[in-house]
Amino acid sequence: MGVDMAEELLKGNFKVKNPVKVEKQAKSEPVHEQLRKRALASLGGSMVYMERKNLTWDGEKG
Amino acid sequence: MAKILMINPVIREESAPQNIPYGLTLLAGIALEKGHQVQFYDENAWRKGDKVIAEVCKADDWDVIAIGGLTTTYGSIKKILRIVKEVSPKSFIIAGGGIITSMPKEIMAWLKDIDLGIIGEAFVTWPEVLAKIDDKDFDFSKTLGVCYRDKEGNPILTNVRPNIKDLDVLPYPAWDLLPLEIYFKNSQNLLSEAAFMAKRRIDVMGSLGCSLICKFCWHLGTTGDMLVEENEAGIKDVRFTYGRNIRYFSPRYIVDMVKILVKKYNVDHAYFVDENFMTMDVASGRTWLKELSDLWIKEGLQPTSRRDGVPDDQNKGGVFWSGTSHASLAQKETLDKMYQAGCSSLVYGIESFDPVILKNLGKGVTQKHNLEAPRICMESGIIPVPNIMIGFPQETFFSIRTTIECMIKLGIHAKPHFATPYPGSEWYYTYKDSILEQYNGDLEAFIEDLGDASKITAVISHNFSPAQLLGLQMIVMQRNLRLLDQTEKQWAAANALMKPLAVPKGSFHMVNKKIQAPIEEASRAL
Ligand code: B12
Repeated sequence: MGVDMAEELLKGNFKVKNPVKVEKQAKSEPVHEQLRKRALASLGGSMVYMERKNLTWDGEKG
Repeated sequence: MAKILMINPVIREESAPQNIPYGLTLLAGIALEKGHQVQFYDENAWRKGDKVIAEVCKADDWDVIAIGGLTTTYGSIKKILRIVKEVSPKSFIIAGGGIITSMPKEIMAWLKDIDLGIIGEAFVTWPEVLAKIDDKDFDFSKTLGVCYRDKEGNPILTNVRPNIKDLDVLPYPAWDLLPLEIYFKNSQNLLSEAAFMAKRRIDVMGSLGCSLICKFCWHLGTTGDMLVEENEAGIKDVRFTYGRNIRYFSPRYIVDMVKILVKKYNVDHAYFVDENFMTMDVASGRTWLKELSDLWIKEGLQPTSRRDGVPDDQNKGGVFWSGTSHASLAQKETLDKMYQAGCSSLVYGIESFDPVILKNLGKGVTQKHNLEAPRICMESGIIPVPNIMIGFPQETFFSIRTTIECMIKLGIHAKPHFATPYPGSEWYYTYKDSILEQYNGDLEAFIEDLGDASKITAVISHNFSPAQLLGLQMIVMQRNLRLLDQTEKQWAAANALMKPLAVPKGSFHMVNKKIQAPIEEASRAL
């Protein structure tokens, strides 16, 4: 049967030339990435999230 | 010996149970030590509903049925008491905790089935009351720290019960009486990587009280913050003050307790329910947290990831811990030690970044503290959890903008809480008339409406209405300065014509002074 339909983003009655696949969640996605996604999706009340890195601000110098 | 049924009511109905009823299980521990017959039903964990509660009440001839919790358990307690009275009408009903301490008269009036309220700290009052019940002596007029009923059923308060001096005399909570596996199932939370991986998290308590005087906060009348005095009509009632009795357990007590939790239940994360680690540390002369961290390591509780200097997702054992910090009182040196020992996250009640709001809050922090503290914490390796609130009395478009700008600077994502006047807090007494007005004079309706502050109940903002605050909450969550500008452009001029929903007033119940409530002079066994 060719491609596994469950993994296709496009669903139709023919096979496209360049199937678009759902990117499987890499099993080894680091814990901090999993946590960041879930935290941002559940903000509210005591649930807040602070970026661990890539801060735009590193303190007032001087 | 009295046969006692203790019931833990439901809290946060909308989410799975995560926090053990610490106060109730400590009291259960005390009752067990005194030789009483105790059964515990944790409806918050089981959530089995009315039929099962009725069966529990029928399970024996209970001399005493005790129930209590924070104010937001009011609805659950009301429902449970209705069942209790129907099924077990002869039992003597005792209530305690924040719900009744903040407003004893009202609660005794609304919940007529309560025979006795225990007001404030219960460590001594509770066993004393049980001993009297054993002796069939139901005259509580000489017992400190209670609200009893006179012959006509009117609630009468007795004088305040002094705090115990030394917390180390307390037994451990009676964990065995709880369905702990239910709590362990909900161990994971999103506050830190370590907590995200937690499989067996449990609450622990390291201290009681906090020296600060934040206007939204309350100290349960258990920390030297409460007096009982006569009001203008000569009737005794509770008054809350800026007085505090600061008490912390010794690091030895805490570490020994956690070691037992590991041995008995394989606990991997200790969540400290303390109001504020840092004010305790200051009170100890900056020794308490360092000693606690050192002992945590020495006694083998340190997570292996911290010992080996590898990321926490490679941890192989040990106990992480978390708690609450303070923006101007946390010191780098202490945070570093805490990180080493396994501290994974610290809540910072940032609340706002606006200088005017901060100045009025009583927290003793400036905008600079709030900007620096989360970063210093992050640098130590401990994840800061910076809470944000909107809807302060002094909130303006300007203050909201400041808060959003600082959130962007620091990389904070939050859907802010709404400033809420919980009973007991300075806000509650200052705005009680406005609250009543907003609830058509029905205070009970306000109490029943209270949940966590992610929805609006009574507004205490002098400038904004509920509709505006709801919109501003989304704007802050999206950190969307453009939408804020547009909103301000359209609304700001209109604000001058608005009648505020909240107007501050003085109250008998709030004494804005440092009057310390009594504490016992020496340590003694309970
Ligand atoms: C853990 C905790 C929770 C847990 C629940 C704990 C539980 N199962 O009861 C969770 C996380 C769910 C929680 C939620 C909230 N909490 Co909370 N919480 C705490 C915290 C940090 C510790 C409680 C504790 O265990 N204390 C230690 C024990 C020993 O004290 P205790 O329970 O009060 O018990 C003593 C007495 O009160 C008394 N007692 C208590 N119960 C009973 C019962 C009987 C029968 C008797 C005789 C005596 C008695 O005896 C004990 C010994 O003296 C306190 C702050 C603090 N450090 O106390 C806030 C605190 C209780 N929470 C508070 C608030 C405002 C909230 C929230 C509304 C916050 C929010 N904005 O969302 C929500 C409620 C949400 C909702 N939808 O209901 C306020 C209380 C306000 C009030 N008027 O009741 C407090 C005091 C925080 C503060 N400083 O303002 N909370």
